[in-house]
Amino acid sequence: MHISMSILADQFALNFSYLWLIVIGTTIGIIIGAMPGFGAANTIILLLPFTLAVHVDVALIFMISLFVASHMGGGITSILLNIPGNGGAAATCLDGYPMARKGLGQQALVLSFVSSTVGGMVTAGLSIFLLPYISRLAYYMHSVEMVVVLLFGITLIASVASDNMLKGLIAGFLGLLIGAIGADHIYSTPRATFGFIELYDGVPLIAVLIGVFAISEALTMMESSSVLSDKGRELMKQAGWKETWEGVQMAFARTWHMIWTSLVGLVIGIIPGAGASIAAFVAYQQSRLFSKTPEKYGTGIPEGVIAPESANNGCSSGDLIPLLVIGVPGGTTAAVMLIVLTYHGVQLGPRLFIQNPGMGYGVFVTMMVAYAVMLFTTLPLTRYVSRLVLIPTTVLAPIIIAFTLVGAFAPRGYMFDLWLTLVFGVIGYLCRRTGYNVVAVLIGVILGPMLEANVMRALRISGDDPLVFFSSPVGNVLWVALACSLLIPSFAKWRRNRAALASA
Amino acid sequence: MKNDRDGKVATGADWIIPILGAAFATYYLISIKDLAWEAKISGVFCAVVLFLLIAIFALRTAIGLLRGTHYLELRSLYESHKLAVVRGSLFALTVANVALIPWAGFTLSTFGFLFASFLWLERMTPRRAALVAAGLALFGYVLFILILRTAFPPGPFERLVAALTGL
Repeated sequence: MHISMSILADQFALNFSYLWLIVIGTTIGIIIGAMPGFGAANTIILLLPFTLAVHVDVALIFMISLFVASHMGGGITSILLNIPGNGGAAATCLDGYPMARKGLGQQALVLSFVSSTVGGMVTAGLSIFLLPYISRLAYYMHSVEMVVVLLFGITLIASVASDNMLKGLIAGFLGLLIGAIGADHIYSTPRATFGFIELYDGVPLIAVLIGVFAISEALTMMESSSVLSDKGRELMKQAGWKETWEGVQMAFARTWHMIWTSLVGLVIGIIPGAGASIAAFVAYQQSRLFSKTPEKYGTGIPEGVIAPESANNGCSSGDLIPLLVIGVPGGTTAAVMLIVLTYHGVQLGPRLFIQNPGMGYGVFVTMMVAYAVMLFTTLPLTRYVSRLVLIPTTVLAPIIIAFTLVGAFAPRGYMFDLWLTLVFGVIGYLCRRTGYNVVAVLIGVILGPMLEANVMRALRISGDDPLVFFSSPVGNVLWVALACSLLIPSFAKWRRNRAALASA
Repeated sequence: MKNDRDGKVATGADWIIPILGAAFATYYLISIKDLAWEAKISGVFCAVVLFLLIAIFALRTAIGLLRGTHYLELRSLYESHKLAVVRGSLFALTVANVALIPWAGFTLSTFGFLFASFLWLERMTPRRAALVAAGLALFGYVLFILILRTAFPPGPFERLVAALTGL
């Protein structure tokens, strides 16, 4: 896997000659990314007649542009409407929506776009130069290590619920139990399916996502005539280009934050089966952990938008590394890309970098160009897109319900999923009205099944020996890191209290 | 849920989620009682922890009520009659929309839902509500059914367009 500057120069030239295609791919990607239920994978499947018919370079540039843009698009509705476009954008709601309510929606969108771009470009650039080393990470991450990584994400339940820990934990464990509905991972026997065959594969994540976020938010927002606070409304009405520039400054004042959280995303993305949602939750949790003002998280602070968005987009580079280096797709979209590339006769794995290194490294060059293109196309739009929140809630709420229900139906095509979405809408509404954190429910539903699958796999491989979880050096290092991440906040709080007492 | 009543904590409405959680956990445990331990372990763990948390919540509330730091109320779910009617109407229209989709198809049911919502909630004039709802429903038809090929059951509108244009 040796790389030469001429290969990179050729790839940049190739990508610039297809700039129009990148603009089309990223535009489609941002739109579908912002719509819950429609992901890059479905769209690439829909566009297979195009990607299979054109030259492989064109197909790859188009697919990569669409893929990275869908990661970026997911944050738009998270920030403006508290409705994540996909699981990876769920953590963005935590601080993005409070920012929008304060009238800082434009700045929050800019933060999301800039941190996505920086996160995506940094990780794509790193992937080009460190690919042989980074790719080895996937070999060290097995079920045991995945269990610890997932526990990192699950500890976020405690963080998001810090204002009422008991209620947050109840919501989180309810989410974990809901996530355990469906056939078990060893014998495929159904559990708690209420007799519905549609629940054998587990509770569909999109139905939960749309129910607890979109439907419940639409019902909740009817309380006032606007999504915005009075002050926020005034600020938003006066917003101009200055706010866009302010957002850019806010983002670059936190450059290191964007970089390190994107690296969290890259590492998690490399693990096959782990995805953007885990990356975003873990990055948010780590960002809060290392913050000097953790109590401000959840109130609408720039770091709370930067961390999940950088990680979410950093994860997109990581997702493609196993596909290119060992021929194993890291996620659903990568699996669809594998089909297209195989149809074109491309052999993935180490051979790709010997026979056609330009294509292997070209993937990351396309990512860098696509992110640059997106930044220049999306930043000017933030001024106009952010005005969405000025629409009266009596008009906005029915539109949200009508269009997000499509997203609940689209992935599986079952009418059952629409009814399930309404059930979760009511649950989400009850949670919001009575002080239970809906993000905690969602974390449980997303990460619970993954945790169970990995715990079971590890136990199965070890012959049901529970000590297997402490048998790997990488896993043990991660356990120590997890213990530290749980203990450090308590220690820091104890120190702050002691300092406050001493000064009083 | 602290409120302005002498800094006391309101309780009552916040019991709905724990009750639903306990009922679901009980059902979960019953549904897995005959399964192998590998299929049970995660569910049993989550259900037991959930029961424990609910028990702590119950104990804390009971102590709070006895000490007078908590008081009973359901206002967080029913703030005012007007708001309850608006929210109830929106949810009822949503349920009607979902129930209609298999017969009316996506476009007509979405049009009906948006038209009724705009008339009732926003008090738009019928003409304006019809125009906005029709525009949005058509946009949804083009985007979700024609372009993204979402496989909703076809209704009269989709069948008519297909018969006339072959789309």
